[in-house]
Amino acid sequence: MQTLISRPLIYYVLMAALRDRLILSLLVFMAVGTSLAIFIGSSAVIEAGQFALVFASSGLRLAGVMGLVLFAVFYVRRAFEMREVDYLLSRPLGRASFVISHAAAFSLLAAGVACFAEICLLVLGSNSVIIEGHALWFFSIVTEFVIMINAALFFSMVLTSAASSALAVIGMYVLARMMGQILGIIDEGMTTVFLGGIMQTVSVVMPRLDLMAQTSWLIYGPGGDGLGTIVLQGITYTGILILAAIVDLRRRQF
Amino acid sequence: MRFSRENIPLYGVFLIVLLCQVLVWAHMRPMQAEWANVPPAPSERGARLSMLGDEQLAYRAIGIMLQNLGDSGGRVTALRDYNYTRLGRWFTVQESLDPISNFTPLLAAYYFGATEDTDDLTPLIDYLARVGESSHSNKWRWLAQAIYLARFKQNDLDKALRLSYKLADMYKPGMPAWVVQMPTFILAQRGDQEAAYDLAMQILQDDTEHMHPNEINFMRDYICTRILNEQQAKINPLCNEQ
Repeated sequence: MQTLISRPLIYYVLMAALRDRLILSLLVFMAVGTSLAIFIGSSAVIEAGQFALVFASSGLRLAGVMGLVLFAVFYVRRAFEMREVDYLLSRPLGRASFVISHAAAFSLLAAGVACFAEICLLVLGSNSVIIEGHALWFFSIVTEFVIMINAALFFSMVLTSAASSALAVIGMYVLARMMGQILGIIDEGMTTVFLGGIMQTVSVVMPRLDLMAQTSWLIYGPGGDGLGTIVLQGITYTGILILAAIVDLRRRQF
Repeated sequence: MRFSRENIPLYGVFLIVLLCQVLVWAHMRPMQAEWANVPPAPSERGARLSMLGDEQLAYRAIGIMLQNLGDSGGRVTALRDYNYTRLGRWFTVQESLDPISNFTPLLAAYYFGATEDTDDLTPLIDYLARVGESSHSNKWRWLAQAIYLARFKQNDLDKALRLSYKLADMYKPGMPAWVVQMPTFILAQRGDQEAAYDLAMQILQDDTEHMHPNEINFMRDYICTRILNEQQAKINPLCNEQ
């Protein structure tokens, strides 16, 4: 029986990430973004540190997701177009193992970028860090990055165009971030039954990213449902994405 | 690249297009972004949606926007020109996004509260009174600010008295004694300037440990430039501290 995770393949993907200028650019961009947040935050008449922390964390979150998604999408599409996928699958490596190894490598990468984001925030808020809030934000942002990079893996395997894959993942991200508000609008009866029904159905297959990485945790300490719900969301949604990608790859004819 | 006669029409078209751009620029150069006063405030949900569901980001982004409102792009707007009714709605949105922060109450009390048009103060006083009644710690001092604005700027004794009773009811051990005495203070038949000075000094002296240094500076500046006249400020030790 073949192992589900191929260490050489994970190493191969991580090396590709290191060689890719996008990841390096992302880290530089995140560092510059944090500096910009300090600059904008310092213009506030009071609570300048809190302003900088909020702007930095929100910027790092968005930059991290966009960078990871673009890297994953373009990496996978290039692997298909350069026949790397065909070559790798000709080795003693199952299709499930191929997808799971990629998902594991991407998830490690996501965790690394999340670590960098958290380090930026710790440096920024070094004078008054609420450890519990930062810990919850960090685990939450790891979960969000893992979900999004695996969504990028899934969409780039299903869709044949890198641009349409990236747009689909970004669209999904925006919708997932706004889902809590959209459901609130539906619950208040501010939409038609038809539209409300459609959005309720869509929400079933959407992660609730609005509940993750809340910037208020960094300022006022942890809140919400806590780590349990976040981890549960991460495991279930990442599981769905990986299984869907395996199903798609198994049906594919090379 | 060598010059070629074949490319002359191409260069000609390029120059014409460039000239057109210069003409368009000349036409548009005097046009500048106009400030259409305070924009209408969104709903609380709209504000959250605009920041992808991040309410703290929405609060801070709106906060910076309110702080710089009307004073960007080389323009400075007098406080009397702001639409205070709309400002009051923005403050309400801010209150729902983050009821703990003191940033927006400070803007309302010390910056927008400096307007000379006393009718404009009503939305600010209502907002500060609401914030002041909040159960979060040390918010009562915003109620004291609302009382100050109602009594000494708007000269609405009834409103100031009504708010002062609310403040007195909020008294808890650890709060300064003047909180309980506020209704008596408001009713005292003293000169407005003297009473305003006493109230502002009491807030400043009794609650500095909970105040941001910038807030203390705002308050000091307010006392020295708005309450006291130039002669009085010159001999007041508070105004001469470096």
